[in-house]
Amino acid sequence: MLQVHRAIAVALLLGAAVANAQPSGDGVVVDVSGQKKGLYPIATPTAPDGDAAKEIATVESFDLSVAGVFKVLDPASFLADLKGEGLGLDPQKWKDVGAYGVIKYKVTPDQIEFRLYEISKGTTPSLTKTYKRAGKATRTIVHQWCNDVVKYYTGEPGFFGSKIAFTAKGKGTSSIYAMDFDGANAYAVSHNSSTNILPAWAPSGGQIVYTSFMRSNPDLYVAPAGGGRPRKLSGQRGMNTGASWSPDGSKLAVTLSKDGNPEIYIISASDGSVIKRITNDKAIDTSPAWSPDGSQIAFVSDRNGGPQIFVVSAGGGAARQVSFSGSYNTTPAWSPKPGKHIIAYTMRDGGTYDIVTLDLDTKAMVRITQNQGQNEEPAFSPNGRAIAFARAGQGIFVANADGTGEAKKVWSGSATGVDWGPAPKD
Amino acid sequence: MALKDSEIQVVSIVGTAVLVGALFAPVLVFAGGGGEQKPMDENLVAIEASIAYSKTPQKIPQKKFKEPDTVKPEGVSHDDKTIPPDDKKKKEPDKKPDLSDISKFHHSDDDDAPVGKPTTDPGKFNGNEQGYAEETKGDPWLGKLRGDMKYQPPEIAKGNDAPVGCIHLTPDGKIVDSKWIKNTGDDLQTAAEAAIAQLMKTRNASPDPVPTHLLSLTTRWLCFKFTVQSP
Repeated sequence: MLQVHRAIAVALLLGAAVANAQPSGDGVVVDVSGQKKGLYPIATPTAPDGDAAKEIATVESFDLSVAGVFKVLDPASFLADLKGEGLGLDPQKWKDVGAYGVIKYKVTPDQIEFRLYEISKGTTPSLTKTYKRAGKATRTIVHQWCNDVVKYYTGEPGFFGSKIAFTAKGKGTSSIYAMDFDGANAYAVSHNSSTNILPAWAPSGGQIVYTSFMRSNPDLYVAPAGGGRPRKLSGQRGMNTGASWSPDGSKLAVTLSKDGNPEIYIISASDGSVIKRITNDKAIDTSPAWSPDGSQIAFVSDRNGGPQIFVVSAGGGAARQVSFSGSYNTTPAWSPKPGKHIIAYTMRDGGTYDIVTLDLDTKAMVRITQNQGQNEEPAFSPNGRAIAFARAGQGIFVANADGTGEAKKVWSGSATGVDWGPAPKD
Repeated sequence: MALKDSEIQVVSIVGTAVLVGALFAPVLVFAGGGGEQKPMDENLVAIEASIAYSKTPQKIPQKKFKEPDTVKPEGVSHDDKTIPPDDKKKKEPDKKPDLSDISKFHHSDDDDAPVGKPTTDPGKFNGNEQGYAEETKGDPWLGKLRGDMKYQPPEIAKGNDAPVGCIHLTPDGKIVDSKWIKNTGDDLQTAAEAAIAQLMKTRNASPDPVPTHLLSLTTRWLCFKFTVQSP
């Protein structure tokens, strides 16, 4: 009798416990909580459609690998029968290799059809696009597709198809070059045998300003971004260097030493006339970088000892030091990410130069390079997801701006003065 | 009016007493003669007068000190007449009741569990049952199990709902089966499936036996709700 009573009591208690512990009636035991972080594993298998298909896969996997959000899976690990699958896929085969997304495509003489599959959605593609090939380079179409993929996942425009300007060093000379962000289609912007340095893209993408010693003095010139005859913009006595465009393209922040000491000035983008002097300090103030919202200018100053990064209002006033780690910090560049205040710069750490980012709001620093040579002069991609920089004696590299993944070389040779152009126009 | 000699003596004695009292009373009062008073500084904080800040007594770092083991003299006596203890001489073991047939002690109205199975036997897996939250909260073994999943959806993973998946654990710590009771059909589902697959791979390669107090989890599905932390 006692056993019966106990059994009833236990059943009642258990029922109460179940009612309490099962909010959705599914008997959940353990909460497993994870933060959204890290790269999205994506597979970009090569379609069995000949040389054009191979080029597509090459360009596509490179684009996505530097997009800042994807981890492109090694094709050697794929288990799927690509020929049998065609434009479709067997989700389990891709799940087994750790893919979250898979891109398939089919190329014909007239068009290229792309399909993006999310493994969780099975055999139904999440995104399908068909591009006409007429008159367009295959790589241009692939860049366009990859921008669509980035937009699908992040809601942000991609930077594939954008360009990078840089200084290519020769024997006794240096020239301004521009190229696709992935190193393709490089061409000379400056055409003289002098020293040409520090290129900066206009926000419109149509012009590049740079410093040239072609008339002995370091003067500022503006040239069409596609190359062509440059126009002298600023030829003040002494230095005319380090130009940075205002976001609206109407003004430039520059370093002038017309009064003897290098200071930051704002000049007109149309005629080079001085609009305002921003700094006034006996120390050297140089390397201005205009913030994406136009309100602030970052620059380098040794007013407190070694060179450090300072920020000042674009209207002038007191400057505040923002870099404190490292004794030698130079070449600031602002992230264009909306709502963020992040600066990338070159930091000397011991005997090496590395790229770091500093969030001015949270003070969080992220190291972009480490133990990989001498790295300098960072420039953000138009969406802020990637950073290009020069590695001394090796070339130009592109890395994820959050410090993840490996930097990819996009240009081999002696280069410096990297600047990333605006987003490509559709 | 003239005072008599005896009156003069009385007045002088009284006057002397009053004078002595007036002179010594303050000394006695301020010298602490007023009963059981505590020292003045006992309840006060010492203040460095020069800079007037509260002085915190410094602690000198101490090495961890272990008391030496006490050595008990054994077998040595300073009394010549004392006989040292004989270790070889042991006590007779206590007589214990014969328990070979315990059933003879059982009464028909006993309400305890029947004898025969070890208490650590969790019983057979019942696929219809699932575990409950109360018994698993904060458990270190389950915490490690959770950690072995390495659940971390990618930054751009799509999805807002929480997948729910279950595993069938065996007492030796292996995972022999899994199922999904809530498939969200998005990237978070893919991340959760990858986490369960990772867990199975890890735990089946090097099983970590289920501790006794959690053995009940091996008789039913052990389920996990995969949620995303806000950044």
